Amino acid sequence: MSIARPAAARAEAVAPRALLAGLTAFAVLAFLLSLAVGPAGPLIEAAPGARWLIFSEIRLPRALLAALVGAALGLSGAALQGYLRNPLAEPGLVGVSGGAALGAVLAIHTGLSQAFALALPAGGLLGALAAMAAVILLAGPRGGGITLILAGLAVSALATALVSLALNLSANPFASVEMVFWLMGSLADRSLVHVWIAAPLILAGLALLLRACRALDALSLGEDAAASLGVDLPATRLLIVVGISLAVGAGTAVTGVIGFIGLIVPHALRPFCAHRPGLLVLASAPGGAAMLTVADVALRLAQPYLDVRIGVLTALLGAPFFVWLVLRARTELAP
Amino acid sequence: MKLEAFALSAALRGRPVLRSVDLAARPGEVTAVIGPNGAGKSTLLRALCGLVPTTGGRVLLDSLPLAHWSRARIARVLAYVPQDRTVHWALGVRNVVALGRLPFRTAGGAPTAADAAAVDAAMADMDVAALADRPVTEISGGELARVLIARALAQRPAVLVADEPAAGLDPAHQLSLFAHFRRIAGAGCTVVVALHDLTLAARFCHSVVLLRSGTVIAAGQAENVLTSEHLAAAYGIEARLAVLDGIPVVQVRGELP
Repeated sequence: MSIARPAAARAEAVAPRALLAGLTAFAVLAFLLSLAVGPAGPLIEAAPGARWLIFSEIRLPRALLAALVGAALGLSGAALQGYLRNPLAEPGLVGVSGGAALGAVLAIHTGLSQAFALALPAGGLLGALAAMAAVILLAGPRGGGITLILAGLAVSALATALVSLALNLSANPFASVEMVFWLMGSLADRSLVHVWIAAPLILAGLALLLRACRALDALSLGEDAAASLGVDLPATRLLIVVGISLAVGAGTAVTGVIGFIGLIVPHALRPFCAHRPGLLVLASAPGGAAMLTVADVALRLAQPYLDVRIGVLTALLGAPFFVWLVLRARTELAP
Repeated sequence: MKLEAFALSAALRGRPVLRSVDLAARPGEVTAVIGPNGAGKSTLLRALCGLVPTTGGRVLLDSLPLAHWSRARIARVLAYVPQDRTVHWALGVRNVVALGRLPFRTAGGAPTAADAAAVDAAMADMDVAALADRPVTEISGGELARVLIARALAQRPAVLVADEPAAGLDPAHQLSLFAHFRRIAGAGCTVVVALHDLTLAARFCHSVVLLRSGTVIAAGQAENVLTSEHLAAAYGIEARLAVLDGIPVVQVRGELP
């Protein structure tokens, strides 16, 4: 026992680092792969001037956005699942995706996005922040996860209804098509300006969420035990809401709604993190970045034959994932 | 470190649960809080830890009002074992016990050798070292109870507040648990436990507080509190404190008509 103990302690200390290093290496490889995929081939066979343009205007923004938004969705999903102690939570539940979608759709509906291109991400961002403010006000200063989710659902439901209303009232069929396509989510045709808009807010949101890791570990034992371990519960809830709203809101504002990454990635990585919610938050950032990047690369490889949007692909992956969850639950809960 | 309540009142959703409760838990002593279901034991323990808003009176930790303590500072001296034994994820036993070291960890800091030593000692004290790598979802209810007490012991607290720690434990582990409470009290810890087992209270606790409907109806040494009159008034039972072979036992004859 006394001989086995130090070895066991060491194994435990190394394993999380190895996991995080492995996932980060995977995400970096996926990023490099993403830079190498496109109609012009891995080495961008084009005129010397066009070569840099293709790299900086098409491939780099797309690869950066996939990594950033994937990391934001994965980490936010893990943080919300940890906070709510529910493996079925998805970052959109706090209302921010609906708010961003509404803001962007309104930018199209009012014609602002025709007037200047950046009105679209700006509208999405404003919508996300408005949704965040509404959820915080509605959920109140006290109360736990349930009030937060109810407030998020209320704001999401209102946003979805207003998006439908905008689509319904749209006099211009081109605008309607643009709205519908935007809602499907896409990483294509984004410039580095989009990256600069989203990156600072995503990184700020992720930094806030990382500060909640200890609280999430303590919350494994319930709210009372967590508070007795020094966790400030109202402050933790605020960190979670603001962090997710910034990270996912900024991401959704530039890419549209990309679902299921925030649900699947933490689920898949949880066993490798020994089910520890704090470690899972760390692991889900490179995990989400890698998953969204790989999905986007697969999409572009299929593009000559099949033009599918990334949000549609992740939704297509999400449904069988739920089927798998059902089948696993059936065997686990069987008598 | 002393933990005291003076004229403490608390309400849950507007319903008064504690009415002017006085309690003094001293270092070196195991203090039992007993009383029938719904008497307010859990609320009293939670209020002592600053986990429920109070409507009157005050709680002093180390002679200082609890409001003057930050959550983080309380966590470094006081450990609380809730009655609710839910662990929300399939964490390993050692990882659960190690949560007791969170109050001492800096953000992002790795566990130190002292942290590991406290965790190992707590697991050994609660006889759960052999379960270290098992997920908490795959151990028995009594084992889980011991794991959660080990989590609190890993905090190396000056004050330990435990809500029904003995519930669900087999007789051997009940005895060793209370022997351990006596041992840490002997080393200067202040121990407060809510209990239903009157014999454990009589045998191991230096002082006993008897609650009914949110008020203290008796407090002091076990032989003065666990009298037939008090037990009849609190629980509606016909019972007496006896000594068998030098061991105090509460003998319950039956319910009063």
